[in-house]
Amino acid sequence: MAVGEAVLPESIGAPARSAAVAAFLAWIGDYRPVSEEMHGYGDAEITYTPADPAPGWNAQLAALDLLSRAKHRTGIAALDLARRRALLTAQLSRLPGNRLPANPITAPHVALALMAHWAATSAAIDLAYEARIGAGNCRVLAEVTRPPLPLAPGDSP
Amino acid sequence: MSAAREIESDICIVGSGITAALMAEKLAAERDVTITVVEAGGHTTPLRERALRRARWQQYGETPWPNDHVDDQNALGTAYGFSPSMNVGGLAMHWGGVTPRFSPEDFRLRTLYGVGDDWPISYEELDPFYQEAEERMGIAGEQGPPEMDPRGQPFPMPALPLSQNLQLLREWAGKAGVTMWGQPSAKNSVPYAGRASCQRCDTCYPICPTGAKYSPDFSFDALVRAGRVRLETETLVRRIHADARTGRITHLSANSTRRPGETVEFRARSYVLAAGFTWTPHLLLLSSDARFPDGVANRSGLVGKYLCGHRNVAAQIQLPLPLFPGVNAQHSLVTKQFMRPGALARYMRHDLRVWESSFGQEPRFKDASGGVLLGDAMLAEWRSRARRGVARVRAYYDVLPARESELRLDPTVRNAWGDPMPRLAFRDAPESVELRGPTEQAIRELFARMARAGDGTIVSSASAAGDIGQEHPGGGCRMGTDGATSVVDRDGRAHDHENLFIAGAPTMVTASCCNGTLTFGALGLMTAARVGRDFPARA
Ligand SMILES: Cc1cc2nc3c(=O)[nH]c(=O)nc-3n(C[C@H](O)[C@H](O)[C@H](O)COP(=O)(O)OP(=O)(O)OC[C@H]3O[C@@H](n4cnc5c(N)ncnc54)[C@H](O)[C@@H]3O)c2cc1C
Ligand code: SF4
Repeated sequence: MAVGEAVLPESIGAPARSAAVAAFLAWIGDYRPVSEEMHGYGDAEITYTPADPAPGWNAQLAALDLLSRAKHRTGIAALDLARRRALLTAQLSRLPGNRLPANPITAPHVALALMAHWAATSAAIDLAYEARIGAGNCRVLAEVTRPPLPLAPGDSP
Repeated sequence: MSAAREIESDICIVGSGITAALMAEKLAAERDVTITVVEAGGHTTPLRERALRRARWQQYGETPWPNDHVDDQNALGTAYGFSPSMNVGGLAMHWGGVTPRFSPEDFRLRTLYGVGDDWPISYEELDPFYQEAEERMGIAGEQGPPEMDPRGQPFPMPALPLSQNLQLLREWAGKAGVTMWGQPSAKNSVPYAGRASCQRCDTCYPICPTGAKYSPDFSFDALVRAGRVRLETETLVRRIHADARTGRITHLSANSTRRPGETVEFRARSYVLAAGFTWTPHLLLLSSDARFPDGVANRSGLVGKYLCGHRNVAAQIQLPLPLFPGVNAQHSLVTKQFMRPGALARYMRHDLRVWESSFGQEPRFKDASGGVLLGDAMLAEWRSRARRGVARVRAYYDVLPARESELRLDPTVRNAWGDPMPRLAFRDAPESVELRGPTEQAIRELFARMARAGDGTIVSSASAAGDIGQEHPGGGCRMGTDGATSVVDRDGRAHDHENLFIAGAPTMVTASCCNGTLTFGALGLMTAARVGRDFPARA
């Protein structure tokens, strides 16, 4: 949660951030490494999902906590938001590229994985476009002809 | 090895893909026949499990169709466009359901433009079979302007409604002089054939959770339930046996893919190969013997030759339009304006499709200057890019195949039974090699003109599939009137074997410049009409 508070948008509110962290934990808990992947259009090769990243991400979280103690004499959860973000910023700035990974499983850092997992939700996409698109959800076909409704005040994931 | 099990029927169809499904439906409905369909793979995810499988695919990238292939049965070489799926329903279990027709010009390229080859059939002759394929699958379509989009009868279902995004994009294309309409699709715009209507959840490829998109398992489930078809799954046909004197096919021999030592023999009056563009010529070539040393149906030496497909040029165009990607992302606009160009100084034909796009609107953790973005800063930066409207445009263009565009048996790679696997090498005919550069350039110029017409900017441009293969592939058993220059006649009957029929994709002469599966189905139905003539009508 210490990382979730630092990386997820504060404007969505604390309950939504907690829910996003809980969804992330449930998601990674149900991951099955070496499952057959979808062979996309044009791909003759059968490929498999990668190794479980959770142990590596847990090690990163433990190291973040150690780093916080080394630098600030307290665990990361007790740090104020600005310091937490400073620790994470230093780590993320060293990563190549600028995009959140399309598949969070491949994220090289647990903070990126959490952000990417949240950003892939239909609710996050609605916030980005400021409209109720409902991407990926089953919806009434006829309504496509109108622009999506604007977000209502208080709409959040 | 155990003694072969024997299965006898009037008609034996090899393969259970979309071509086979439509043919089996027609034959079962119209003729008093027993039909066996032999499929190398097994059943895949049933409709009731598709929502769950879709969720695992969305969350983890897991295939919604696990074990949809047969181990060590795969194609080599420039295999882009090929898929290893071998299962009940074939590749169309995970197709996108996009179903354009070819245009009348496709069947007369030599006559009209002096390139490629004419087909032995015309568009007008295929029109009723297109219609039948559309009715059997359930196609929702918008009639384009009749001069661009000729058809004998209306679509069986109303068009999928155009999203607000596509309406805006259609207006924009109009400003550039391009007339566009909704792409016909095998997706229910209203409940059809006992299946639900589309709920625009946007995972048509790779899996439709509602059953709104047609897939061949729906046909086979109904046919098997009604006792009209015997479906032998997990059974790989490995040889076709022909009578040395008459050339008539006597039987097929097959092995269980689950218990490789178990053999099965299929005997029928008529045999139909509906095993797709790779495995059909592969099986014919594998079936060589002393009497047919180059393989079955191969007196012309053309089995496995003239593999055909097309390539595309694509771009992303940023436009000052309020577009909201994710509304119905897999549905698109289409035009046949450039497939029906009239007289041409230099040959060039292509289709054109336009979609809503989220290109360049992906969430990021760094800003343009490399600063890390967290929390609200990340969301604000994402929002600033999400406001830009982006259209994805893509044009498939005609590629004319060389004779040496071919499938060969590769003796260095073999399956569990020691059969050599197919090696594909797509090659353009020399005239097509020369046309490639100017065609791609003309398409890029069209995109630039479209961008200018909408005060837009091209933000990305690509030519896909290079030389790694071709899209919507077909050919390998081309149809024609002359047994010396083709493998099958206009009905798909092998010139060399009176009771052997080859259906759909492999029989194509050229692959047009649009998705091919509806045409494979229509050709299959034309073949089914001919196969059926040898059997009594159903009371
Ligand atoms: C990801 C994806 C998306 C696509 N989307 C579209 C689209 O939107 N529109 C479009 O037009 N096309 C699309 N296509 C292409 C389309 O799926 C194929 O063209 C079509 O399904 C081919 O059908 P078919 O009947 O020719 O053969 P197949 O689907 O290849 O079926 C042949 C069957 O025969 C079986 N078989 C082969 N050999 C043997 C043997 N020796 N013994 C027993 N069984 C055998 C195979 O196991 C297979 O099940 C898409 C393809 C892919 C991969
Ligand atoms: S949009 Fe959804 S419901 Fe409609 S055909 Fe595609 S997957 Fe099926």
